[in-house]
Amino acid sequence: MEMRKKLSVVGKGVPVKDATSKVMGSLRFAVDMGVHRMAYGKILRSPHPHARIKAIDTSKAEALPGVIAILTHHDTPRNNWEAAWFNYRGKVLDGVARFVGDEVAAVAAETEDIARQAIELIDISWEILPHVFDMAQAAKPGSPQVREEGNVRPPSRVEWGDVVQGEAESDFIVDCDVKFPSQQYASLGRNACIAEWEDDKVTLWTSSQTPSELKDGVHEALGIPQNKIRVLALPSGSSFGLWWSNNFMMVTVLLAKKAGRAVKIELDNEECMATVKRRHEEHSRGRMGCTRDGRLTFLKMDHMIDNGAYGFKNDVGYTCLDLWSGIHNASSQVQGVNTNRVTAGCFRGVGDCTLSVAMERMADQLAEKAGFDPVDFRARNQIGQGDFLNGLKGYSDEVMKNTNGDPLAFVAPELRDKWPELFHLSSGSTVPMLRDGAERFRWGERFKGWGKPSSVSGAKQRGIGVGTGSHTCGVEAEGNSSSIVRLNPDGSVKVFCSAGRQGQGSETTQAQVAAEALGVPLEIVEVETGDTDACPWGHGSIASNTMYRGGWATREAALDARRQILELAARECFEGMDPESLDIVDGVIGPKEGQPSNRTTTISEVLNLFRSDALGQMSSITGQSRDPMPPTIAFSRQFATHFVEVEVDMDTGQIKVLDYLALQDSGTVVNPQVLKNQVIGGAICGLGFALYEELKFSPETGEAINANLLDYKLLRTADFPANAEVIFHESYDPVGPYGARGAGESPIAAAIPAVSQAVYNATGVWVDMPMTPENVIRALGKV
Amino acid sequence: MRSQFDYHRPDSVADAVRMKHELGTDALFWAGGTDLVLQWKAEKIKPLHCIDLTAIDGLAYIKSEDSILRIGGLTSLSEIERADRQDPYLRTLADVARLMATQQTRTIATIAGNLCNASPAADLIPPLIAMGAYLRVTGEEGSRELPVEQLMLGPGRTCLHDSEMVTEIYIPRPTQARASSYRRIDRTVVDIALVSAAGAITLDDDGVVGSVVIALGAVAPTVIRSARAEAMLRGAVLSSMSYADLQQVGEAAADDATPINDVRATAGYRTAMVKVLVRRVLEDISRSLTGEPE
Amino acid sequence: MTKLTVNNKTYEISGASARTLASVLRNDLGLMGTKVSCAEGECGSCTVLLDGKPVTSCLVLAGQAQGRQIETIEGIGRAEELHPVQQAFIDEQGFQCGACTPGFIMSAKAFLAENPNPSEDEASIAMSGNICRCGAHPYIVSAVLNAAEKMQKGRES
Repeated sequence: MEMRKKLSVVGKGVPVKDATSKVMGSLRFAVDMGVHRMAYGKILRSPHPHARIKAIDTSKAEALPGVIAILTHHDTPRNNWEAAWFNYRGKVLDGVARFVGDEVAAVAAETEDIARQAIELIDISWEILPHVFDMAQAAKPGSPQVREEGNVRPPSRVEWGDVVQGEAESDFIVDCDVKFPSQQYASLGRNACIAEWEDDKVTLWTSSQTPSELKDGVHEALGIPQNKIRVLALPSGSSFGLWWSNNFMMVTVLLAKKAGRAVKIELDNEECMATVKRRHEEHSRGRMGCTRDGRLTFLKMDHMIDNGAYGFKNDVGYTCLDLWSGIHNASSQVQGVNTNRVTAGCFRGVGDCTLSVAMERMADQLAEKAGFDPVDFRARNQIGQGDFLNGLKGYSDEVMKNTNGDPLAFVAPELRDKWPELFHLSSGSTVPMLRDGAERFRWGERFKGWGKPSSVSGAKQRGIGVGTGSHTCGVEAEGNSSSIVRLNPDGSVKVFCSAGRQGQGSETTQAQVAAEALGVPLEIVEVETGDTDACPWGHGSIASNTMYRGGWATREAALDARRQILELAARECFEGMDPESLDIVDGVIGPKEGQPSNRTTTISEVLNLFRSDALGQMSSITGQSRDPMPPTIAFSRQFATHFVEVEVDMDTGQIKVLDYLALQDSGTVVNPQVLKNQVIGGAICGLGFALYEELKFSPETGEAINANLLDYKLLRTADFPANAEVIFHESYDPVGPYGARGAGESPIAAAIPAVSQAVYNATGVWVDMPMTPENVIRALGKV
Repeated sequence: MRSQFDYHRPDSVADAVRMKHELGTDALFWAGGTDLVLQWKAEKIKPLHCIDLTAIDGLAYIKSEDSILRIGGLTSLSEIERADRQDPYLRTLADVARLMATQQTRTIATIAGNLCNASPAADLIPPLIAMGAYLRVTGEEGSRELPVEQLMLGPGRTCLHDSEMVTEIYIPRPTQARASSYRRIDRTVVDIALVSAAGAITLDDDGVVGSVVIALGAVAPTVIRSARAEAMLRGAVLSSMSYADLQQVGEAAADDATPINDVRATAGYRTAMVKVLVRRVLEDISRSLTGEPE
Repeated sequence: MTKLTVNNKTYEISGASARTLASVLRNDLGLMGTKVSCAEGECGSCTVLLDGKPVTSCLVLAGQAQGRQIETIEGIGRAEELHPVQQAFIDEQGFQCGACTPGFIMSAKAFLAENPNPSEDEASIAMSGNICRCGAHPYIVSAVLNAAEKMQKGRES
């Protein structure tokens, strides 16, 4: 393990690097971009939930002055392409529409207005096909099939112990049957894609969290070699998993090729909310038991997710099985089913916002039956450092088998030796946060018992709740992230790592990690995250990957650059001293304390020493992360514990959030201000999911009918307590950069069960999500 | 595709009215335009002409006179929000304006616009009906006055003739003590009304309900009055009505409501909330008239 | 011809009156700081000031803005000398992705002109005309209070 030296940059709440451009409005998103002489594209979308094009006549559209090119399914490749994590699988255009709003054709024209007019002039003769909107229906044999592979993906299962035995050992058992609404990202800032070809090479500008995967997607969708694709991923709005690789980007690339000019397709807000992606609708049916002394005995879970038309997932990313480590017997199944509705995919927190919430509810109901306080019940059943990660049982068996019992066989020896024990939690826990939070929140004083309001005033009843959440810290399964750190001749530093910029501060925190590793001031470090010609392959900002796995690679690359420059300096400026005796502090290279020589130099001096040298030594340093980060899903988790107070109007069902405390354990906090924003942001998104947000669909057509911000309700500043507090528990991560690990998704996971429990305590009833005023009143039996 | 329209900017009521008369139904009077822009973008309306009224001077005012309160048709909602500072009698309307849309919308949205948009959920219509307000309208045929209650014919439809525009809303001051209240159901702090109720009651010297208006919003094709609720209240001694009595009035009001299911709420919820809101409106009024603290 | 005064500069643009102010600011004048997200007056990303009052420019016709002083995010400060509201948002990190930020800053500037010494509740309610989907809500409120303090000190000195 590395020495924990005093940190100079990591841990500081410095303003983010793009702060000035954000407050000046000069930060450019894809919609703000344009290229010289570009044409404007618009997409023709299907009016039918399921239909095949019998004939398509574009002649009237072509005849409209100003129309440059029209793309139809006759122009597009016949192969499927897949977005990261099975979030999309389909052909760019294939003459079949699978949801209302599905891409059917596209027009490029001199102006946006002409393009809009032109798409209305395209005549299509449709063969209407049978459709299915309900996932339970779609899962049945004989149901209309949404896609050629069939509607139903093989279920993913996790099992350990013996659930029959576990059930027999239980003193209390509860069942749950909970449906979770489809949440819409409702990302501000919209998106656009600009594609420009130069001979057989294409460049794309678009807001994306996953630059490398987008390049892979273009390659897969269109058969273009990866070295002829350049993605310039721009900052996005509040993406949460929306803007990764989306089919409209592929349409743009092909339309630009046909047009022979750069084309920009810009999506309006309704397109963003109704035709791209959403959180799956999910259904949890489960059963859980515990003993009289409050120990969980078993879990049975049958969870279904609706993939919409093009999602292809068979799992929904959850770590709650690990979190509730007290469960000794379990059988959990997740199944993905396609329907003729807009594609569904990963949304911040994924299964830790749904299946996990069903588990928290069952745990609460068991705690109530067995007579345990919510905080206590969690503390006695949740995971601590060193505990086995139950949810990995099948995975661990498979890995051990496939690697002959040595999963780290190909990992460099220095890394192997310090790598944590696989399949056991390496650090972090909710338990200390439960105790700390309970004290800060005055839980003992304010909690009046299960389903009992903490105060009543007329029709207003108040209640408090606690919820926990966890998630992975990035995953290695889709590919390993690499970073490059370049030292320029003037001594300035640039980091290249493929990541998203959706407000989580990657352009700053990656710089902090690199600056710390190099020993230079943060001011001289800049970060490039979006240019795939410059950045090596990275897993993008998915699954809370950016700091943990991305940051690890950045640190390795910075340390490599540091080694190289110190070797040069030692040889050329310090009379062949051992480079290990040198250090860089605040950009100055000099001997470590206690070493002979008081000479100092700088990075730029060392590099410029050789510029006029006829022997031509290196003038710039490129540091790389040479060893891939070994597997981490097998031991690292992030944890969140949230406390909330609500006030419910028992006559109208309206809920107000009065008080909020969020605790977070993501190891070392690289930038407290950035991370507080992530924690509160997750809490607010979780509260939205729990209280107001639901994408509603027409029963006739399956189209989203509230794809707008008037009727898709988001929390505003006055809907959330301004004095909400964030407390960090920094249990040092053994491998993460400076002890840091992922943080983006556990906060939303904790917020949802916390507020659900608070509403139960205030009202005496469990209300399903979203807990809109109407749903509360119905749950109370007052309608 | 959304229509392309010509933009006109008359500087007098006479010009505006004449323009509208000449251009006919392809032209729309545009005040703040906040509802119209949305409808135009959604292609629910396809105007070929926009007659921007906001350059006309002298239509934005709040005048407190002895027997009457006058509000110019083009008075913005944000000016109405501040109106209680000028005249405490306008407190209900100021409170209502504060609930509407966002600060930004209120800067340019106008009272006439809210009325003529004629949404059953329009926040200003129920309280104006409760307070016995009138409209002054001017059209090609001249000017006339009508009670606000007569304005709405259905969702988005008013009784105004083609070239008529609302130039003023006026409220005769009551001769006896009167209190009014408006309550609505909403979700987040910025929202449209899912259900709303307004009431205004005057009491005789012996505390008996003299005149009463109970108006309900978003539970019928227009904003309606509840004859049943009003009948129960007329002649009653307000201060001796119990919680159960007020609940019964609420139930009577619910019987007059014919709400629909829509993306925001079901008819069942709306009906249940009419009962709650009417009771709460009456509690507010009762407290106001007896001077009790809230 | 539509004559618009934006950030104290006057522009004449043909055929703009029947288009939204947001569209004219962005596409004709190249002022991209005014962001358009929902385009239906709900999110406030496109907030600009008309005679010092906040409006969602996606709902205002450019023609209606004639004869008024239009102020956009580009007009309130320079990189070398940010407006106190801009600096306050940086100090409190009242943003994440930045898509809503110019809109919030314009709303805050207008609010503080009317209410220079607001309470936390007043600031929170006043900022509710804008949406932050990333969820920086408490830090946005702190930014408004921070700006109020800065501007108070500025007046006193």
